[in-house]
Amino acid sequence: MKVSVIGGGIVGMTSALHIMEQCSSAHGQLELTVISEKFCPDNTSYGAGGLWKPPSQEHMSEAELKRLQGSFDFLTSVLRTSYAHEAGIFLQPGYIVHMDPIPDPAWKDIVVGFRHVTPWELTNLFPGYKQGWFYTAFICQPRDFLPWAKKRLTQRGVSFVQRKVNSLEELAPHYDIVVNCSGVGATKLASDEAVSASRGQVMRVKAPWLRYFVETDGKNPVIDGIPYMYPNLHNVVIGGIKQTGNSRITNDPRDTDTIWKGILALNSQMKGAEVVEEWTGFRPMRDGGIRLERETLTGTSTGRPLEVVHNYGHGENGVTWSHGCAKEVADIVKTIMAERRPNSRL
Amino acid sequence: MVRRVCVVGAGVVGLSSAVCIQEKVPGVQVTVLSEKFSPHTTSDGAAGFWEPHILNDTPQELIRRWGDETWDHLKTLYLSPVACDAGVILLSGYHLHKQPQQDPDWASTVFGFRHLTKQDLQQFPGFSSGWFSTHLLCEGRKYLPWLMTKFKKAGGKVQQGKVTSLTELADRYNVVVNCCGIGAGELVGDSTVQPVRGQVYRVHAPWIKCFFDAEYDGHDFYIFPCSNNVVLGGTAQKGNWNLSPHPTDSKAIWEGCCQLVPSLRKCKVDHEWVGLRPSRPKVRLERESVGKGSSSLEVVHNYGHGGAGITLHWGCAQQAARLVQEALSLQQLKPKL
Repeated sequence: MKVSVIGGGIVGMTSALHIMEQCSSAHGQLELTVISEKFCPDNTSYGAGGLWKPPSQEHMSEAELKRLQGSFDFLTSVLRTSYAHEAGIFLQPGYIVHMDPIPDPAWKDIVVGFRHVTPWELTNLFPGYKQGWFYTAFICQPRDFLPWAKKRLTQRGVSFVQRKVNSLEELAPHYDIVVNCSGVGATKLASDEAVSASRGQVMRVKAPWLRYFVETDGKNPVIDGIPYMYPNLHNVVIGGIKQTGNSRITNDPRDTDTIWKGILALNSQMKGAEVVEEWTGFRPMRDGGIRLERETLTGTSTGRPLEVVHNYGHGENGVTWSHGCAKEVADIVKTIMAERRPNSRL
Repeated sequence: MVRRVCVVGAGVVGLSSAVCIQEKVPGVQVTVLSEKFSPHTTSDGAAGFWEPHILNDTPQELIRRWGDETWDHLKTLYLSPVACDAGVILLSGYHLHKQPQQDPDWASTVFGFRHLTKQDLQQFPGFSSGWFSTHLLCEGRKYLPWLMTKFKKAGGKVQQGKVTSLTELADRYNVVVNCCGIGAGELVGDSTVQPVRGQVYRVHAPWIKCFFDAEYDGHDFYIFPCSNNVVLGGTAQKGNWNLSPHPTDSKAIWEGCCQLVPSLRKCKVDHEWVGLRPSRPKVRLERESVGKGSSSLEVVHNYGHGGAGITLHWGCAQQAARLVQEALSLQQLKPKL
């Protein structure tokens, strides 16, 4: 069975990992190729801070919660190994603070030790914000995880091809199953008008004393923008830019300014922190949320239907959803492989 | 008329006492006199984690008072622009036990104290209970130079030297504050001061963002991420004066910590270090008049803080400053030299 995964970002690589994990010994031979126009360090995932943090919704479907649990469980399982940090995975407690009080999120029992912030924390650490949560979750740094995943996949015989895919159909002669993890590229590849890009800009700074993440939400009268800071392995990622309709791929000094204003208002200790890197990327947003489903394309050049599994539109939470979605994708691939078995009765 | 105060000892207790005396006692010239200074004091090697520890029979209400005053001081420092310079960090983490333990007295001081759930404990096979809390940490290695700068800026004087008896200072100073820590035993003939030997690794493991502290079967293995490296410990050997790392201890600490966090096996070791916690049945913080006639001297003792030097330092320093004020008020003025 020839399978290709389109997209070498966090969604594509986790899909590949889970497909190899769940499907390679089942139902005959599996040949997996990851095809991507860009790999690390040229893709969106490279710049991401890697915080496990779902949208702050009060209600989520069972399927969504299952995906989140799947991701969290996978990260927990890696944590106990001796190579966790090589994969860019570590435990990280931290805070999410809001201008407007909102109900507890649907995923509060998935993370560890969810609680509300204490009055002291709110008043002193997050002036102006009305409510906050504290919990322990993970950072999974894509810029470390993706090379680690690539190594692991290569060891298992997975091939990597760097090229742009212009249409799903063009893969029909070469593959039985295509897993579409093209992120922002899904606009063209899947003709999906619900997909859009949300421009983000971040800096990585030296602040080795920071031991917790901070994510802010809502317009604070004394703080510009929606600053956030995530400890990474060697630096701290600071940001706060979410722009729709802006396709500027270079760093914008005005955004740099906005980020600093927000961060310094949030945490004055950051003053003078040395900037090590600045980076711009585009979050793969989708109206209506993640598209994770099977699609059978008929009318291909070979006459055979092409099985497609779509897995895109993860917005600003790629790391958070990736493993849970990848497990679901692997289940679908397994099902397709079972259907295609020579003696399977359909 | 300028009164002269000498603080003997330049660890966290000595320097903070010196600063508090400058701040609270008017009209004094303070000198810090010490055999050792940062980075060669016991305080320099400590992780500086706020948690009352190895305090023996020190009355609980004093531990609470001094500890809470220090906590408040660290909170203020943390919120100020000098937090980084002063080495103050806010961090969260796990206390792990193999048997349920009573909640500690400091549970209501730290932030967000809670019991570990089954979900938490899944990460730590072999442990059946514990706590999670958010603490402040104040690294000696940064805090001491910061205190020293503050002390000197306010006109404090510094002298290097070893003191063999307090009365030798009687002709130059009105009050002497004895903050000699482990050296206090020899200095004032206090045989109840005993070392509690602590050995640690300092390693590079930047993926450690929480603390871990596992106590079981008489062991205490801990992992504290300080600002530039991670402390792995430890030992608590009573009466052991050996300042060199011992291979048996190194191995035990390594295995104990790697069992808690397996990824530590791949970390890079920077160095090993041994410190002698200045343990005493109770912290000694009191006034004493020593000597007679021309060699009479008012002394304020402030030593014996065990494993809680940083945890209690500010509360004790405030009290020491009050005692210095008392001593000066009671004393006849001595001629300026």
